[in-house]
Amino acid sequence: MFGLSFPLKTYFLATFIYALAFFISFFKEKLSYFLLFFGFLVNLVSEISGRSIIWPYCNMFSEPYFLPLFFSAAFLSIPSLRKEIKISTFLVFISSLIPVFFSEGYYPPFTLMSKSIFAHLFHLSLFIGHGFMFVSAYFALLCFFKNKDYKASVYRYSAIGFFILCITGAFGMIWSYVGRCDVISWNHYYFHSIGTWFYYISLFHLYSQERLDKKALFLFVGGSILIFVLDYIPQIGGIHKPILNERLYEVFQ
Amino acid sequence: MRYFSKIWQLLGDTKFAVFIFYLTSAIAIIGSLLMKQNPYIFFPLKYTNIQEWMLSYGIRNLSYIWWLPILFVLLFIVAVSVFVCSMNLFKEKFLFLAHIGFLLTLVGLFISHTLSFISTGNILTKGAQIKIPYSGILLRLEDIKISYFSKKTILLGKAKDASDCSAVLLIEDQKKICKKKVSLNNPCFYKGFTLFIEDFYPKQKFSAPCWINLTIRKDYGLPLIFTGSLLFLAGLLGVLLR
Repeated sequence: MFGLSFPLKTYFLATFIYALAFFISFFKEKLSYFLLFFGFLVNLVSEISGRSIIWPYCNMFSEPYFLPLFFSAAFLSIPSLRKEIKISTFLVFISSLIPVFFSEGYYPPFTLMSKSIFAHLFHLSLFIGHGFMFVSAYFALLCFFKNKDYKASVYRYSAIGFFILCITGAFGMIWSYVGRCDVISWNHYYFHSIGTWFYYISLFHLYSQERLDKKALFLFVGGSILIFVLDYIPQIGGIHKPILNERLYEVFQ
Repeated sequence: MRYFSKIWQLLGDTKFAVFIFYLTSAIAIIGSLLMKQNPYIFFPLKYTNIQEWMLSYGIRNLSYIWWLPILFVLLFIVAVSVFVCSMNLFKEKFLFLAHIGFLLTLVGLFISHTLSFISTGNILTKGAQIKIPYSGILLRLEDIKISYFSKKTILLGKAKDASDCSAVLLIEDQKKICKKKVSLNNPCFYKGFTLFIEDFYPKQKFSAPCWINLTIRKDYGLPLIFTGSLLFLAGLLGVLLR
């Protein structure tokens, strides 16, 4: 149905539209919103086509491609972030640019083990959960640097993200059990997820005790840094020229 | 008695819980970094219970696995702390549910990784038969089917590679015979045993005798893990929505 390079081409097009949305945000905000929405649609086409090409297998390292899609959706739908159009479009643009220059490719080698609906549910919910955590950190930074009172938003979006990450854990356990006969995957991904999970659970306990002042909101930024370093960076490779070559898939097998 | 009440108070204190959570988080992250450097030490944990692994692989690689016993001790303290907290939170039903759910999950994970029965390396060719140890259940491989990517697949480099493997098992248990289908990511369940295809042959399309490598597991912790997880998620959702 699609050529192997179709998802990459549409992704690059989405990146270009996000770039336009960012530059135009300095002059015409409404046009910038429109472009952000258009970029979101193109990115969505890229995401769906990429997944359908290797369906029923799952591309397990596609978070860098997914994140700009989530950001654009979040920034279009959260009213307080729509007001920060310049920063929001900049974040979408930068996050979409990273896979263009650093990604190992849209089709990293998939394993037969990824042929499970739970693999898809696990990865999608993981990416969405991470996205919410990043949005929460964004609110925390706005609180601090723009002196705005987004404390409730910081908590709300990290709580949603945390709940989604817990669902991710349940999907992960089922997938791990049906595929590898153990609910625990004895690899480093599992244990740094445990680390991140305990980090956030301690934050929520602090929050429940109202021991979080404005400065302590940086702890939510810290959580996002943990996710970025432990989950996001391992999914990107060394810097390279943007590649639209279909053989890229084979190179990284 | 005064000593006991002080410990009870400490375990139920949120400050103490936060401290333990941070410590657990740090140890898990440090451990994940050590694990990344030496993944092969930890692979056998999939096939053995923790105590057996500790006495074989663990004891010989203490410099790489030291964090794991510390993590277990911390998780034990977390479990006790969660138990004390849940007693104090009895009236707040969603928080209570989340705490109890988490506790059940931890207990389930402990049982699953210390008491489970695991049998590996059960290689079966078509028509071959094995006996599940300590059960009297006989397994016979009636049929095996390996599917392959087509020659013209869009996925470069995958042509003629295996895309799936499924098998039909005949299970004979006290003169009762039943047929079960098993495939990759789709194990079959029989009387508490779970039968998985761990591996198969051939992985590429050519004429060769086919076999599957079955792993058999009886996991006593599984019901607790999934019940606990469901309760935890329900409690968490309730807390979020209130």
